[in-house]
Order: sequence, then C-alpha cells, then structure tokens
Amino acid sequence: MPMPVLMETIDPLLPAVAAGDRSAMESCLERYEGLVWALARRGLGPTPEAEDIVQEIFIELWRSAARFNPLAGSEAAFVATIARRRLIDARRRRSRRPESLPLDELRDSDPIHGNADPETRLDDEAMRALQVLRSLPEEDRRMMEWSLADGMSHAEISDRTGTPLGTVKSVIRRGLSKIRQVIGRNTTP
Amino acid sequence: MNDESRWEEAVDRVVEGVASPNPPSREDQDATTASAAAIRALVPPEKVPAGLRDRLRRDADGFATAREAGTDVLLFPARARKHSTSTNHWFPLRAWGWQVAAAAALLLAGWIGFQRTDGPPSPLPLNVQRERLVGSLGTLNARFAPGFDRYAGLEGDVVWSTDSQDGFLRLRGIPANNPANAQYQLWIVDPERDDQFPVDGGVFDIPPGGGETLVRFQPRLPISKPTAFVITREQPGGVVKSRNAKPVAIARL
Repeated sequence: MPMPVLMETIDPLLPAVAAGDRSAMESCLERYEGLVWALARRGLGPTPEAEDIVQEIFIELWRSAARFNPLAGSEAAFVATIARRRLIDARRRRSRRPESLPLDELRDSDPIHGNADPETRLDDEAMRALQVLRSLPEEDRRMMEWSLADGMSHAEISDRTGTPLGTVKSVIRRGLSKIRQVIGRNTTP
Repeated sequence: MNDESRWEEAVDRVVEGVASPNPPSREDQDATTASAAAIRALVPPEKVPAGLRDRLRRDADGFATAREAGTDVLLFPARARKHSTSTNHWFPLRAWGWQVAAAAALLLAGWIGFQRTDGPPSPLPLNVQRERLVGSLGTLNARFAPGFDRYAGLEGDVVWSTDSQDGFLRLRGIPANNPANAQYQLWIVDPERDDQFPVDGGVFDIPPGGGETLVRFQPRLPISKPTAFVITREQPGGVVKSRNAKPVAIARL
C-alpha cells in the first residue's frame, strides 16, 4: 500500500526575488535547492559538474525571476523547467553519456513505488501527476522517468530499451497528455 | 494542423529541450507545466552537499549586492570546469569566487564580474588583472574587426598570455543578450591543436545599457599558438561546435 505523500500549496517567491529581496532569495534556495540538486545528480552524477550546473541554474533563475507569470504556470514548474533545460544542455555538451545511477540506489526515496520520504512535500500539480504516473504500466512510467527526470532523449531511450522511436514518443506524449488532463485547470488562460 | 498535432509537437519540443515558439503556444505552456509536474513527482528533493550549499548562498549574496548597486551580472563559466587530459574526468571545483572584495571595487568601476576559480580568490579587480597581464612578457594583443550587420558597431580587443593560459576580452558596442535565449561564445583558433575546430573559450553575457564589458577567459584546453579569437552568438550554455556561418567578431593575431 503506497504511503501517502503530503500535499502542500505554497505562495510564490519569485516576484520578491525579482525585486531584490534577500530573504526571498534565501527562501527560494531553501525551497528548491533540494529538487535542483536531485535533478542534477540524477542527470550528471554526484560530480563537481553537477554542483556547477546547480549554481548556474540558480543564477539563471534569479535573473529570470521577473519573467515568472503565475497565470502561465506554477513557480515550481518555472524552476523545474529552467533546471531541466540547463541539464539537457549539459548532457549534450558531454561527449559521452553520463553514467546513470543504478535504479536500486533511487528506490529508497522513490515516490512512485510508494516508499517516499514522509517529509516529501508535493504541490498540487505534482501530486496529481504522481497519481497519473502510478497508474501507468511500469514500462511506460520508466520511459517517462528516463526522459523527464534523467533528461534522456527519445533516441537514447529507444536505444536503451530496443523500443521503436515512434513508440517511445507516443508513450511520453500519452503520459503527459494524461497529466495535462488532471492539472489542466491550472493552465487554462 | 489540428489540436492533437500541435500538442504532440509541443510535447516533443519540451521533452527534447527544444526552444518553444515566442510567445509560447497554449500547447507549449501545457506541455511545460505537465512535464514539470511529472519531474517534481518523480524526483524527491535531496540533501544538498554542504560545500554547494555554502556556494549557493555566496552566489545569492553576490547577486543581490550587484542588483542593489544597479548593475547586471556577468557569468564566466569558462573557469568552472577544467578538463583533465589524462583521466577524462572533471577536476573538483573548490571555490566559487563571488569575490566580495573585488566585487566592491568592480561596482565602483561600474561593472561586476562573477568568476569561479580553482585557487585562492584574487583581491584584484579584473581591470587591474588585465593591465598586469598586458604588461607581462609575451602577452599577445589583437583588435576585433568590426562585425557584420547589427554587430557593425562592435569595438574591442583581446589580450592573451600563452604562458599563463589567461586572457581578457574588452568589448563595446556589442548588443546585450538575454541569457535565456542566447549567449555569446568565444572560440580560439589554434592550428597547433586542430586546424578545423577552434577551442571553446566559454560563454559570456553582455548586460543591457551599453558601456564597456570586460570578460576574463581561461579555456579548458591548453592553447599553444593562437591565430584568431572569434565570437559567435549561440544557444544558452553554448555549443560544442559552432554552426554559425557568420561570426559576431574576429580578432586575428
């Protein structure tokens, strides 16, 4: 039986960051550094390069804070999007595929398998996405995880699994379409 | 194109990290929101290493200081990652040099540099460091030729020391960039290394407001006999090999 994952609704900090509020910058770090570091470590391994990228992501976040529009999406989505783009760029700059962590190392805090850290807090959108992901077949969920959380390209996933490229794309499109449906109310202009 | 096709294209763009149209379509916004929600569901936050945690807070302090002084900030990632030719691993990054003392001096001069170093932070402002390099034996100097089109007003020069593998760009009249859309990238042509592919000198930003911008660069790969320094405009973070047919500016030695 999956453990419950607590849901949390939070007020955005980026408008205050854009105004130069130092305490908001500190709060922003407290709120998102764990997520950004986790993404970087997954994508690049626990390397100095991953730490380097985390710093670049936060600088970009602070510089971009004024562009955050709460009507277009949540603050957490804004942060995750900036982080993921930077990480994809970093992966592409690498001449070799990064060594990914064995999945067993990730299981201790894997919310999909229901053994999430009880302290884990998910906002409303992420909570809905988690419910969709839990409902997917294991193979589909794994492809979405490699694509979205690890930054692997469609082609890399196809190579890794032997699944036709078109099927990989369809799986990810379908999964995100389901998530879009359950959180769609937040994205309607 | 129907709604389904637009959605599929938007998902593919977002998932593969391809830039969305500007302004983004509703499908692009939805795909971004959905993928970001999935990421947050899939990736539990992790405890940040203590060293990184400290550097992030120094970054925040340096950034806030620069903003309070009414200046924009420049990021010099070229020093962040030095490549080991023997092991093909990245050297550890030991220090993220938000050099507070230097920053205060730079603010007085009207600009600030964000710089990461692998050694002890230098107390000297970049313009002083540049002048010292200019006065060193064997330092090379070249002027940038005026660029094409919107870069026709560009003026500037480059100084480079092969002995110390250290250089500075001094630029004026180059359009500001939005780092979210594009960044400038420096390339160093060194036929001794490779006569086809120049060496990446790192990416940098030009803040709005005009004026002179000073950029320090330290390429990841050793340079022995440079013959030209080339600036291109690339995607954020730079590229491994530039496909730009038209450079922003070239300085030939």
